Amino acid sequence: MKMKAKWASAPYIIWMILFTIIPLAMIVYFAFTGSDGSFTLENVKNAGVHIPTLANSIYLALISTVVCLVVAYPFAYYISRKSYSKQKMMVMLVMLPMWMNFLLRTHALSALIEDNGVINTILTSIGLEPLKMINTQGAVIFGMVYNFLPYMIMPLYSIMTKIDNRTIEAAADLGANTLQTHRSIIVPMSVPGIISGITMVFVPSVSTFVISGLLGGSENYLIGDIITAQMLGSAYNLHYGSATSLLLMIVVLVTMIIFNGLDSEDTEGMLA
Amino acid sequence: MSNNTIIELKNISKSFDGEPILRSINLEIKDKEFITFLGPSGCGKTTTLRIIGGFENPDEGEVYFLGKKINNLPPHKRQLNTVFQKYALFPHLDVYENVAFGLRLSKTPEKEIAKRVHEMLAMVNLEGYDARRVDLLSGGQQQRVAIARALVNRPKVLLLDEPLGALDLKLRKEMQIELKKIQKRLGITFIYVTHDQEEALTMSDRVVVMNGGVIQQIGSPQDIYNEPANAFTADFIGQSNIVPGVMHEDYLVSFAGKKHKCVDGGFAKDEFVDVVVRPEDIKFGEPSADVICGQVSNVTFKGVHYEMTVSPRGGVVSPATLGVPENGVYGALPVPKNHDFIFEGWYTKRIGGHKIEENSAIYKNAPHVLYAHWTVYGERSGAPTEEIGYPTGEEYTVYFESPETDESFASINCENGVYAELPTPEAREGFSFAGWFTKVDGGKRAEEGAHLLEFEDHTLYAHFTPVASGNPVTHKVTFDPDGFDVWVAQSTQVTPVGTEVGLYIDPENIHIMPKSGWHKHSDEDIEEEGGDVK
Repeated sequence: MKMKAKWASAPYIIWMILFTIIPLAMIVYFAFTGSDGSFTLENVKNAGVHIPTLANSIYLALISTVVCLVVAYPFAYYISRKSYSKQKMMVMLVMLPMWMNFLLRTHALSALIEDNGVINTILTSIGLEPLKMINTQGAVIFGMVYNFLPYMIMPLYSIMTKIDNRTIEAAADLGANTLQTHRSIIVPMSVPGIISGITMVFVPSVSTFVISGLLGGSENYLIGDIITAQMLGSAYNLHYGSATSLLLMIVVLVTMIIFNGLDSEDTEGMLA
Repeated sequence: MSNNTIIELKNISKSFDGEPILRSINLEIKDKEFITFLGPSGCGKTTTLRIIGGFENPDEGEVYFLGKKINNLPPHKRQLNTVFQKYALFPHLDVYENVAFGLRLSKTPEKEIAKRVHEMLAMVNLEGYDARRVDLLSGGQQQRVAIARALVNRPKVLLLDEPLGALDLKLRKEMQIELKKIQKRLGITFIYVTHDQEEALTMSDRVVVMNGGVIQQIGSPQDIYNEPANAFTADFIGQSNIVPGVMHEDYLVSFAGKKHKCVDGGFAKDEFVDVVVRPEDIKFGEPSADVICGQVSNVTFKGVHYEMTVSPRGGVVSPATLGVPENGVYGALPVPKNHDFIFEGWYTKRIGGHKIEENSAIYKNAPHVLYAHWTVYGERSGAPTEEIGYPTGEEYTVYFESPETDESFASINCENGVYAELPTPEAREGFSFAGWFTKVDGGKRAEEGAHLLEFEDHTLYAHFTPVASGNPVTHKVTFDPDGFDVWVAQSTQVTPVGTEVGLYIDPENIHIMPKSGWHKHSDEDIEEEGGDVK
């Protein structure tokens, strides 16, 4: 049996080696070599210039993660208390936007909020001043929330739906009002879902380049845009790009370690 | 309302999705009593408890707590606590924090919390378990945590929703005794929900027997065991022999073909009744013409006592005689007038059983009761297009008429479609079932799938022909009126299988109760209920 299980995992292991381990090794290799192939720390030092952009990326990703959490938590709780058939329908509605391509969605969004876009056309036609929406920080955050909200709702919903109604009633029975019930029962019991929701929103947000590229304009350049430019675009420099990528990866890794540390502290044993 | 009433329910009704769960419940619960709601699943006992706890709102009626109406008071403001089914402990908190939960909410000082939590844990024998994870405790230990958690707030009333359901038998017995002790010691009211009659009888001061959303009986365990108010209670509480009988006059009842003295009265002359006899109240003696006689057909050892079944001897049990006119035996079946029924055929059992085809012979050794299966169809006034679903457990009794005696009857039950029981002849020779007709003599044949409304007077007649001669002849046959073909008796003394015995029952052990289904449901009631259910 043991042997069988080992062999069954072989395709994935091969996949991992080909498409994760080797590319990762290449990034490390490029990050620490110059164009002549010799070892150097120059790239890493130069990548340091992008720390303000990185900080801005983290800042925007954090805000959109918080917004997602605030929007998703009550909604996920609401779904989780519905009957099974209603739950299925609502989950489908949540997933519905995901059936459309991510790029298309973002393009559609930019068409909506452009200076001469749908919203502003409507506003001017009824005699109001047009709003400056596209190419702002707000637009980037909105784009992130818009695209990644389902990734927050789903893990929250799937953990909340496992909370027995009687557990919630027990809290009320012992004197907890709605707020206290959430604070001391439902939130702590949802921590694993909250953690994975945060992970699933924060990571793609911090590294996105499409959203900031399409909605943020030149002022809201994020670390993802810089890496794209270095790897594929105008500022082509593979070594430099690799070093910047490495920097981003380390930041994400550290963030995840912190979150997972919180997870195991608060919820030890509750996942049994 | 008397002085020591703590909770009062007035005319509580509740429906879920149009299905009535509680029908006008009235109940006063006294301070410091241990009261149990007992009934089969779906009887409304848990819903009643949840209404008291504030987790459901009644559609109609009022809930009073110490004289104050609390209908709209949310659970967290009610001075009562609940031990939930399957405990509902907080998995992310340890034992100590689970118990302390209620105290933390009321901002009790930490020292006081520690004192009271440890007091509670000591009471449920869980000292030293403070830091344990609740999901690693055994079922019994989790149960104790749940009890401690609910009691730590010092509620005036503790609600317990089948708290011992998930425990094994031995542990359950221990916990029953312990719960009773805790209730006595704390001197508070316990409202307990269970479907286990033994549990209810063991622990309660009073038992509320429920069925179909209606309180069937309220009384002490002794009362409901010894003097069940109706056949449902008698059947649900303990094991009973329940047979149909006729109350001829006060203190005289006939059942199983014999007249018996009894201690009940107040019935109409010749009223049809249910007779309940507890197995332990049947004494075996010499067979004689005055008592029910039969043969011991089975003996089971039950630990303390033996349980013996007695099959009455054919021919001896002859409470009713039906005339056999020229064309065979007949039985007439009146049915509720407001509904149409579709005839589904003639079966050996109430539910399922095997179908009796026309011309199949019914011999002496075959079951002496046949069941006509019916399906309820639309109401008479409207077009018969949709099926009416009856609430399960409703029983409508109808009676067979016979030309010579009115002692033969049958019941219609809506549990699984409507059925009617027709006593069949038992004789030295077999009878063949000739079909179901609209008249005693000839008339229109009721085909399967026929609607009852097609038949005059809502009466059908079953025709039987003696097999041997092939010709219908007039002679008398005797038969068992209701298919109650075995008696169950209990004794510490064993009587071997095959022994011929007479069944001796003391008059005070013959419990007479009205045919609840028949008396409670007049035609109007049926119409009303038909309207309730789409």
